[in-house]
Amino acid sequence: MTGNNKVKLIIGLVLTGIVFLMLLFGIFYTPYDPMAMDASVSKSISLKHIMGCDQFGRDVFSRVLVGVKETMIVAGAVVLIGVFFGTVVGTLTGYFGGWIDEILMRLNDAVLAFPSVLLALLVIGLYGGGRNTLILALGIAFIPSFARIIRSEVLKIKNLDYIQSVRLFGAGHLRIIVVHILPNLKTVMLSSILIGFNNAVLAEAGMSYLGMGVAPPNPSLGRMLSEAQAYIFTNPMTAVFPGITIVIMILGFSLLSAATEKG
Amino acid sequence: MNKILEVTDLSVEFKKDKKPFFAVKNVSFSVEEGETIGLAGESGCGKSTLSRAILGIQKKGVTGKINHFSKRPMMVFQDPEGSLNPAKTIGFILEEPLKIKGGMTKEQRKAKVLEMLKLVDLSEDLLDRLPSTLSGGQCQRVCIAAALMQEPKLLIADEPVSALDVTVQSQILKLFEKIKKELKLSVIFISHDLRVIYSLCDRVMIMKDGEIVEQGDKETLYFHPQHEYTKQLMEAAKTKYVKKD
Amino acid sequence: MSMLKVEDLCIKVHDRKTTDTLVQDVDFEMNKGDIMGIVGESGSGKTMTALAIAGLLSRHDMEKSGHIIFEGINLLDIKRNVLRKIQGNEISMVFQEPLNSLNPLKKVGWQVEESLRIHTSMDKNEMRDRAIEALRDVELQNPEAVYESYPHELSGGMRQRAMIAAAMIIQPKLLICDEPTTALDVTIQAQIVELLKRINRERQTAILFISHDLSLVNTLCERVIVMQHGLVKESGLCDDIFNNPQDEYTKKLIAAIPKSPFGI
Repeated sequence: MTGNNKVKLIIGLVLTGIVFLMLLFGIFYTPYDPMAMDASVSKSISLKHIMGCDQFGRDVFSRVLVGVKETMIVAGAVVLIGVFFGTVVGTLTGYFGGWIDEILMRLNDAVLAFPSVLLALLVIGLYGGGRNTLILALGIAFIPSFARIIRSEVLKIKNLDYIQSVRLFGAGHLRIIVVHILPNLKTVMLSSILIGFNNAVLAEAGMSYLGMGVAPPNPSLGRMLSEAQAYIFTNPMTAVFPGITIVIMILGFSLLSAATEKG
Repeated sequence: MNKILEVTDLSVEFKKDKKPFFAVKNVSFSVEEGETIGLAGESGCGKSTLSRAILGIQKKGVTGKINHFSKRPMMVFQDPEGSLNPAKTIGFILEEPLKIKGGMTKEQRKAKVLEMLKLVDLSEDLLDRLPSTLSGGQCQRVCIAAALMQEPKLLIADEPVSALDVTVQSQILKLFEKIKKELKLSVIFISHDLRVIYSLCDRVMIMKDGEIVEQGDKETLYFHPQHEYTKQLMEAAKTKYVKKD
Repeated sequence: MSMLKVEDLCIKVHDRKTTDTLVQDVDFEMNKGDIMGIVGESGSGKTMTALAIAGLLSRHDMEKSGHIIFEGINLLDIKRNVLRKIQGNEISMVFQEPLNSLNPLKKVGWQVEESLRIHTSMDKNEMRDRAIEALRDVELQNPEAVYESYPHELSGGMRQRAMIAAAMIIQPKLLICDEPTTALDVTIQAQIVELLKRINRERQTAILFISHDLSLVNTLCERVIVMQHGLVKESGLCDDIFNNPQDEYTKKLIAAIPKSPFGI
């Protein structure tokens, strides 16, 4: 690993470390009930409310902690769906080729050509809003890009001599795919998972900002941004802190993926 | 002598820009037990396609008869690093053919792996290492050991020493001599280097544009070539390797 | 005075904490019309030596010491623009893979003319004439057609001939060939070797021939340097080294040549 990559790795680890700390913290303890409104409290930053309070008097720090959790759950689940089905589709099409490839990749292209926000809107329109629908919608939208990456990698690997020689030993397709091809996808998967996670965080924030996704009054980073918009001049802190948290998340994961890419 | 392989009228047809094109054309030959046959020819002459057809990797466009009189033949490839799975340890790679074949206990497999390692002159310490930590020569030894695991009667070696350094090359050639003798193995040895073929093989086939233009005993072929192309090849080798004043 | 004199050439690469010595204390001389080989396996430093003489090594991340004196000028510490002039007019290089050393988007003729375009002020027609002459000189049939074709339309042997034409068009005093035949078919290899011999004989161009193939060097060169791990193991006349090798490594190299009916 070159020195440049090492720096990226360290900063990336620190930033994602902060995010994970917030996540853990948010699961077990928040200073205040993130949903409790208190009109009497001062909205500015104080020792009691280190990130201040929003227009309803809810503690922003508590809401950010829980928001991180919500965002991570959605992004994690979306990436999981995308990677799992993307790998299945990518391996099948790349390995077998022929009509399987034709059908699945055309389908893939169709989904890819469709803007993911529109697709998500469609799914949400069909099944109603809420976290689970959002995960499903974004998950489906994320499959094609993973499938493409995995497919091109499998195409490359399946023609290498070591796969040919295992085939000569008499190994079946399943064994060749699972034992011999999949382990070699590790590096490419890791970096695409990290990039995908970033995109998922942004997509979640975007969808929540638009009002689809996590239902109010539950906090999510995107929804907090959207709610704070109206008060941006009177109470800017309610927008700044969720924003900074998103930036830390994205930056951390992109640095990690950049550092692992050329390992 | 027993025949190991008999190929009759083998052709492989590809479609290139919608025009049919024969990568291999009407090839007939046979390999006897314990015999080493050299297959020489220049790039694009169809050597590799022929070997892939014999192995059954190439199925499309193949016509003619390939009769195997033994279990499936095995192959050793040109690029030793590329023929080992980079994600697996040497131990795993060597055990894999036995696992696929089945019918052996873990201990039996382990014993067989150690036996093969000894045959190809590699130390046991390599078992836990990844291919990327081995030298080219060591990788090629592992490839040979893996190919021999299922005890094939016929081994096809496609330019197995071309990617190696000269001194390593001669060690691998010695290893081929050794396994040939000890295992009574038949080998089809593909190379563009006429010197390597002469030093290792009993019989030689010369291939050009998909056809075998001449085949025969190596002494006859090298010293009394009949076909124009064989003569040309021998002449070129002489210009390259014999000093003229 | 000899044309090229390499003295105590060392090339080191600094990779953060460790220093790798790629070439150590290489000494040799070449005169006009000499034809000399450098033989070694991968990692021997033979290509590095050649690149250093051709002035193609980057100046930043490598430490070079010693002298490479070409016609009285030390190539290691002259200014870049002077070096460029020498490179164009006096020293040329031919590489192993002719497909990679030609630009796929430009016509062959254009590329053969390139060094004329840089180093002289000839007009188009003059350059064209010279290029076609150079292509004819490397025994390419129908040089006018080759002039107008793209690299992918030529066979490997033709491309390598075109490369040699491009290297020879400015009539250099020294031609460095880095494994020029390795990627080619046997019959083509023999032709390229013959061509190099002829160029050397007729033009008195000195040739530095880098190869891993000791017997090939023996047929082509008068003198040879055997290198291993950046060190010169043995040097001298080919005949002497072949018949009476002194160094252990040279003996090993000679023993490694496959037994063949072609003499050695």
